[in-house]
Amino acid sequence: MMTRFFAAILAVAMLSLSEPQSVAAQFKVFYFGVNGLTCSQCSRSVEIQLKKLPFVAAVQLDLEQTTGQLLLKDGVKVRPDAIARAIVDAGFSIRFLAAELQTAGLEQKTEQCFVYQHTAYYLQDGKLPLEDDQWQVVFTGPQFTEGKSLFWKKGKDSSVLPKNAGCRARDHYFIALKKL
Amino acid sequence: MRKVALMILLPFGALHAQELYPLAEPASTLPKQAIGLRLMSETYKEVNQWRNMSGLRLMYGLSPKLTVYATAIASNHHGDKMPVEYPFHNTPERGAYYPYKFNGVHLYAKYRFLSMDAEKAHLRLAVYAEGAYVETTHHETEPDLKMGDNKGVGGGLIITYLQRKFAVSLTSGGIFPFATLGQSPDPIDVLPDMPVRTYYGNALTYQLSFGYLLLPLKYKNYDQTNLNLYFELHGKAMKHARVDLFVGHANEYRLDPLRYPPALQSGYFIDASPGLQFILRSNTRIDGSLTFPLMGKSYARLYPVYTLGVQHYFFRTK
Repeated sequence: MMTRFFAAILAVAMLSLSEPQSVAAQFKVFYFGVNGLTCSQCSRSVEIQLKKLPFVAAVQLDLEQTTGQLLLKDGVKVRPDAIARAIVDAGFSIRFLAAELQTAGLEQKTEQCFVYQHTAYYLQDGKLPLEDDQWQVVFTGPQFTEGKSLFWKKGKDSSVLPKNAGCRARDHYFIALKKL
Repeated sequence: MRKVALMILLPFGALHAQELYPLAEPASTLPKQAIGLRLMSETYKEVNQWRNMSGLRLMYGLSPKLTVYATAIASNHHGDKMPVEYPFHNTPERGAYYPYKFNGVHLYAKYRFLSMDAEKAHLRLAVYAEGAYVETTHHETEPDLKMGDNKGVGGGLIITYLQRKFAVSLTSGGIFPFATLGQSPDPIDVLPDMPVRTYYGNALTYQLSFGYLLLPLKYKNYDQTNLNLYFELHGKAMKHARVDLFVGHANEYRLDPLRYPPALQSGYFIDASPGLQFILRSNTRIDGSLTFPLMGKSYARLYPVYTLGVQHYFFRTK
């Protein structure tokens, strides 16, 4: 009887230890669209360029929709601009870049911006829902919207930081929120 | 998670159009640091034998916009000497036996300077420059650098438009061949060969290529074989050649172009080449086409010309 009791306590203790003690902030997955893809051979070259990125664990491309997902390695700094550059290096242009972000434990978080992995992310319009533990962000800088149209429609120029910006870091990106 | 993905990955239409023409170069370039290898050949029957010109091409994406090729060319298309009594008779020489030999190299660079992309279409413009260094005897004014008939340089513009499964590409450029000094045997055996220098005609080149992706109807994975149909119109308009006889001798003179055979006269032609292409495992490309005369004709080849190509990319994964 006593043996079973201690075994049960041990099992509960082990289970509790195996669960994460705290959830760290992180990008969970990136979604992207590629313009100009013409064939599966082209998609393959995009996939190979993306796989070279040090923070990418896996690439899943939808050949029909010319969209894809990037699964990320844990603990490696993510560079969204490198994703756009990899697609350009493959000979194509990026249509959109979005990501799912787990917000708990962000280095800094205000209604206009947050800092993650020493990079500041500024919301272009509206306020960040600070109470939510997961955000869907869409990158809005011109490097993420180039090649969108045959008629030279460019993305909004976001090169100037907003006045009184609350988040400071060496790199910065502009984002919009998308509802989950 | 799936719900989020569905919201983000909006339902865009399929985009499979093809522009990987068997003969023409599209304005699109290789991915950065990608290496490609292409084995290609042109074959036609001449009297009682097959003439073949083959090239082994190494391709490299120097940058996303700049691609370079280097091709080693071999053929049984050129003899050691010019024809007997060139250019009066036997020009172009037909049915003579020439050994298969290495001719030289062809270098090519393509720079894509404009890309206007959309989800289901793109328009791309590129400029190209090429040069060939070969040791060959060529009997026609029509210059050709790609398969090594002549040494010389060239360049031009490529415009490629793609809409869903259909792609069209227009290429226009110029070839500026260099002169070649050769020996024409005298019909009297005891007499020495006659040195002849040929200045081949500068040429305007034009190419209009259409491509259509036939299969797969719907992409599922990279292992599906792609089947593409092509139809290419291509040709040249060239000036007459100039031929100097007895080069280096006291009696050296330039022959009046009026006395040249048709192969050395100015002219133009348009050929048509239907083609078929398989792309295996999204990488290995096998294509073939057949060339027929449509307007005028080329004296440098006999019809039909069978063209075959096998190409494979090697991507750097690190």
